[in-house]
Parts: sequence; structure tokens; C-alpha cells
Amino acid sequence: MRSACLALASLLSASAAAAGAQAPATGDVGVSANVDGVCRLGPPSRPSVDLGELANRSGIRVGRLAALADAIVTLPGTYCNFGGTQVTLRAEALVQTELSQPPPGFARAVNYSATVRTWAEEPPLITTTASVDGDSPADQDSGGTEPAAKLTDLVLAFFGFSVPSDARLVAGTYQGLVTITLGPAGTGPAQGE
Amino acid sequence: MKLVSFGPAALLAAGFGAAFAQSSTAIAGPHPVTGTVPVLCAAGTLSDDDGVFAVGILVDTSTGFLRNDLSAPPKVLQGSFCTSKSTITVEASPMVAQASTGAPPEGFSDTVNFTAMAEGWTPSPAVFTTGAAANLNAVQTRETAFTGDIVVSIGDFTTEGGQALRLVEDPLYQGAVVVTLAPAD
Repeated sequence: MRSACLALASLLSASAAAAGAQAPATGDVGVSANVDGVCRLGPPSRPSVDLGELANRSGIRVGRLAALADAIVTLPGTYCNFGGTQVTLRAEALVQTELSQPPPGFARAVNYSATVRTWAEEPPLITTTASVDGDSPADQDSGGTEPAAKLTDLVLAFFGFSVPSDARLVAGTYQGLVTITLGPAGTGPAQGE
Repeated sequence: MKLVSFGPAALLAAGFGAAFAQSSTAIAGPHPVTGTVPVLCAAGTLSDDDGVFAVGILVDTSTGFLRNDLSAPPKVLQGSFCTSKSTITVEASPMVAQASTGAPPEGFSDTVNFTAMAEGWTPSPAVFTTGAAANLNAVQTRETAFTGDIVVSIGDFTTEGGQALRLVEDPLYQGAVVVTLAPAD
């Protein structure tokens, strides 16, 4: 039994000597992966913008557009992990949802301007131009190109509310839709409805 | 040697992979922007500052009976509007001798009835006759929002108790006309 043990030890030693004598073989092993381009818009600070009562209840401008405060929606944590991106804003004027044709002297649309700040240097800016009967409510604009990946709190702002011809507003519920698209520049916005 | 050549190949593949990776576009919306306009009505302003229908002397001074040619220029409520369906209501109270007290002597009356009318708002004018048992046309409904002038007039003067009664002397006979615009359900 003892001799057998020795023989095994000697074999091990020989093997180690043989390895040490040869030159090591080396090479580069590529470790690769990729990261897709991703843009994400953060959750809006409020799901909808309710401007409340649009018309004055009393005073010299009773029945006409009230002085509406600017409205702000933030989309915190918005990012793209690649450069060459832009924000596109599509917005519709607020249009009374029931009537089709307002009586003479009345309007059923409230126009406004809107912009999306803190992405590229040049923000998108739209001003809706719906007519008194609510036709052609939509406007759309793309901002400049952001050259690098970016993480920011996007700010959607509404301001400059007006009524065509400053007419009186027919009673009812008014609504417009706003869509923000963030993606590679020049690809055009999604036609969200 | 095989291992060495394999390395660059893998790196190249990774490079192309990045270049052709699908860029994701993010869309938020459509988010609604909403507002409301309440149903509002405003009766506008009167064409005359005093707002008084001046009928003048009520009686024929030779007979003491109510004149049959009484009139007063109509009043115009300018810039009236309602932002939705509305009703217009006209109500009136008769012209009553203000200084005399108690019941008038036999053969006399201290009250003059008349008819008030508000036109221009609804297809049929709102009409109210003082002293009438019923005024079915006093309330009229307009189906749509409207802005425009309302012409308010009075006429058809009659002596309460009958044309055979004379009017008691009084420096002031006074009545009233009230026009109300209100949102309709």
C-alpha cells in the first residue's frame, strides 16, 4: 500500500513540472452586451388638468372667459439614455362637448398656448386656434434636438387662454387632449388620440 | 490562436448591435384638459336710466274715467344673455293709488290694471296681465343659449272693477313690472 501511494505522488509532481515548462497561452475574451435606446416619460403630477370654471359669473365680463391661472404638469424622472432626441407636443383647444354649432354671439372653444420645458434648448410651443364653433382645435410642434442622454423633470405648461372673438361661452363641459411624445429627433410623433 | 481571433469578432457584433438597437419612443397622453362653463343668465341694462314707465295723467279730466289712449314708450333690456336653455318670466303688479287709504268710495276705483309684455327673447312674447285670473303666457322657454335685447312694453290699461268706475284722485299711481331670465333644466 505504501509503494502505491508514492507512485501517485510522483505522477502528480511530474505533471506539475510539465505544465511549468510550457509557455502560457493567452487571448482576449470579449464580454459584450448592449443597451437599447430607451426614452421614458415620468408619471404626470396629475392625470388631467381641470381648469375649473372658464367663465366669469359676475362683473362686466359675466359669461365671458375668466382670468385663468397658468397650469403646470410635471413629469418627474423623464429620461432618454441616448442623444439626438426631441419632445413633440400635440394639444387641442378646449371645446364644448355637446353642441355642434353655438348660437350667434357665443363660442364653444377656449384656445391656449402650451409648451414643454427642460428638454432641449428650444422647447416646443403651440397655440391652438380653434374657431368659435370649435373647428380646427389641434396644434402640434416639436422642440429642438437634445444632443446627449438626459434625465430631467419635464414641465408641461399651459398659459395665454383666449376665446375666439372674446365671445360668451355656451354652458357645458369643455375638453381638449394633450399628448407628449419623447423620442429620436425627426421620427415624428405618435398620433395619439 | 483561435481564442484570440474570437475576441474581436464578438466586439464587432456588439458594436453593430448597439447601432441597430431599437430606440424607444415614450408617449404620455392623451391627457384631458377640462373646464366647465356654468349656466348663466344676465338681464342686461335698461335703455333708460330711471327705469320708469311714465304713463302720465290716467284720466280724462273732463269725465274722470280712465283715458283710452294711454301709452308709454317701451323699455329695452340691452345685452341680456343666457349661456344655455332659459326661461323668461314677466310679472306685474297693477298701478295703485299710493296716497289714498282704505277702500275707494262707491263708484270709484284706486287701481289700474295693465298688460306687460317682454319680446325678443322667445318666439312668443312673455305676457302678464294684472288682475287676470291666470297668466298662461307669463313664462316662455328658449331652447338655446341666446344674447340679445329684450323689449318690455306695457299697454291695455283698464280700471279694476270695470270701466264704469272713476279713478280716485292721487298724485301717484304706481305699479311694477319684473322680467326674470333664468336657466332652464
